Amino acid sequence: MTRPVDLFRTAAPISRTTLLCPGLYQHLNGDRFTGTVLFVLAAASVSALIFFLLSPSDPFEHRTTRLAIATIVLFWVALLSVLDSFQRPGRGALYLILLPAVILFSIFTYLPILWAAKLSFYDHNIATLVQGGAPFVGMENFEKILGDEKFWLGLSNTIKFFLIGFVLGQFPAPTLAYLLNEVKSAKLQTVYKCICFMPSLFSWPIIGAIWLWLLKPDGQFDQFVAPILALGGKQTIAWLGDPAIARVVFVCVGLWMGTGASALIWLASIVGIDPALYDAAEIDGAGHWSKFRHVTFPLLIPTWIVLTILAFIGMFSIFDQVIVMQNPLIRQSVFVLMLHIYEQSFRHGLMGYAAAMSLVLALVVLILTMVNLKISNKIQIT
Amino acid sequence: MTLRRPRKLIRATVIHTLLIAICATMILPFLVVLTASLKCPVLGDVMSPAQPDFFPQRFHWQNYLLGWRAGKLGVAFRNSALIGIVWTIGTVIVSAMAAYAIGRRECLGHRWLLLFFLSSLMFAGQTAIIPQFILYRALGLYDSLAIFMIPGAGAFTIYLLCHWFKNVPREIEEAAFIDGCGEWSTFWRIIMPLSLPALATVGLFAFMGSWNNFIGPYVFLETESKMTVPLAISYYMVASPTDEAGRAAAVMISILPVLIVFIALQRWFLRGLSLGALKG
Repeated sequence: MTRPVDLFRTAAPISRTTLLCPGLYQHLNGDRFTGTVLFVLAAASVSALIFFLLSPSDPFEHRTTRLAIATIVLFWVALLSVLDSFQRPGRGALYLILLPAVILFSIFTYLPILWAAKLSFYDHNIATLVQGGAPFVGMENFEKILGDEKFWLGLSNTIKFFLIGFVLGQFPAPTLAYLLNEVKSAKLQTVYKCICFMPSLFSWPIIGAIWLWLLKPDGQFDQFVAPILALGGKQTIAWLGDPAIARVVFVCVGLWMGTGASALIWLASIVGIDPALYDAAEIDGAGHWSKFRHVTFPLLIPTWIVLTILAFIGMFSIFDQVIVMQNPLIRQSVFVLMLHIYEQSFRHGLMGYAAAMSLVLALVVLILTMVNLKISNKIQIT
Repeated sequence: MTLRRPRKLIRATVIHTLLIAICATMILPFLVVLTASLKCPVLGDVMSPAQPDFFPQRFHWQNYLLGWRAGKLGVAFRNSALIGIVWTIGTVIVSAMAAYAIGRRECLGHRWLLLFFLSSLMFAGQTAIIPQFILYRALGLYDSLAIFMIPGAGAFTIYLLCHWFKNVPREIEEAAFIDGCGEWSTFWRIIMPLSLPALATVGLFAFMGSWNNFIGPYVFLETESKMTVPLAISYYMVASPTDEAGRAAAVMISILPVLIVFIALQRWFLRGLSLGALKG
């Protein structure tokens, strides 16, 4: 029995270029009508959104907000009901099942991102948020960023955080996964796993509080490492008072918290490697090293990529830890971009300027993630 | 053989020693806080050389009462639990519905829809915090716990559930259709009960995410009676510089329930992480 759906299922696999234009995929696969309808709908919704974003009325009034939400709901209902008409009868309910997630996601995830774009062209402050009537300032907010020393300090600190985390984070998690994999007794392995995973159960205020206590001058950590420091001829180190090492200390606390969790992800992908591959390699005469080089290593690269990208996005939005653990002595070296954005918006009330900065941050993250993916695709091929 | 045995033994010893050392670094910080929370609050700062012994001479349980009261943890626990439960149930149901349509029934445009959800992972979530602030203000939700109860369809949740739903045997579903079940009742009566393990895992992680959410409450909540646990802890830490014993006790109080849940449900936690690895 051929159902209309099968037309789509047997069609050519989706490629990146067809995603650029809604409806192109259907067009290329011979379904002109769906393609055209989808294109028209998408074009209409995009132009409606552009119109909405450029309209002189203030988008942050209650009325406009409701209008925006209504537009989104209508758009998705229309799109999904059109899709529905191409389905086998009786599948209409499917789209109603889909609807809540799509609408909630549009309103609470994507709409704010779009609004950040609009907000960044206005000189918004707390007063105009309530009363409306913020002046349109064009590119002024972005020009201001160029001359804002604190922005560049924040950006460079954020990048330094990522680089330190990237370098220090390469080694511990895979090693821990390797060690865990060598444990033969399943029960013992579970115990080790649980203990290693434990720190990542708690929120930053808790982890931060614990380490602030431990790292205090003359605190427990100092007493613990005093003999080691004495060997190096040093008395004490101000862990949280020395701008030179504060970033490394912060990253290390982050690693203490997160290594267990990422080690378990590494472990799952090590265990997931098909043993037949090792057998095959052995038959071909592969030793320990070439088994690692040609079987384990290539198969673990996807895990490495995913974890690196996640760490990357995490490091660029590092905020909780800094809020909890910073102090005036080390402020200059842990002053990250998110902190600057937070202070400009919620302390000084410069909403428009802060939105412009967060937009730049999002763009930097987006571009670097793309570059990251490109590079890692290359690694995968070779 | 005889040559190999001792070698294996040495290898195992080295591995276990290393693992025990790593586990010690994971546990010790918590133990330090635990013992500190039981030390005498009057003798001097519990975290400084004034009380150098690791173990307290006498257990001062009253610290816990102090921490609970001064940290205002009662309200915080109630709020966190309320938010966590409502949000988790809503999110898991909404995400499962989407995952059913996308991953299981492969509705038209299912690849696009998955992409639509997954692309949000490319944006660092916190960059949208200012427009979110404005959105909540405009909806009249600012400084209200309702913000954190609106079910959000988690991109990752949908992705994992899509994978899970694909592996539920087709025959069961086809039998349900023949018996006259519609999409909704197939989803609700057949797919959902069969996917309880995946739903539990995903729900557990969603709940942890909500429980540990710090930046959201930090930005969107003002009133003291609406504080969540991470927020209450962070305020208590900066509010009173003197009663370290009470603060240590407050940290322990907020650690313990999570730890108990973790030990009781550790199988689900560990399974969730290996589910996450499937992605790679």
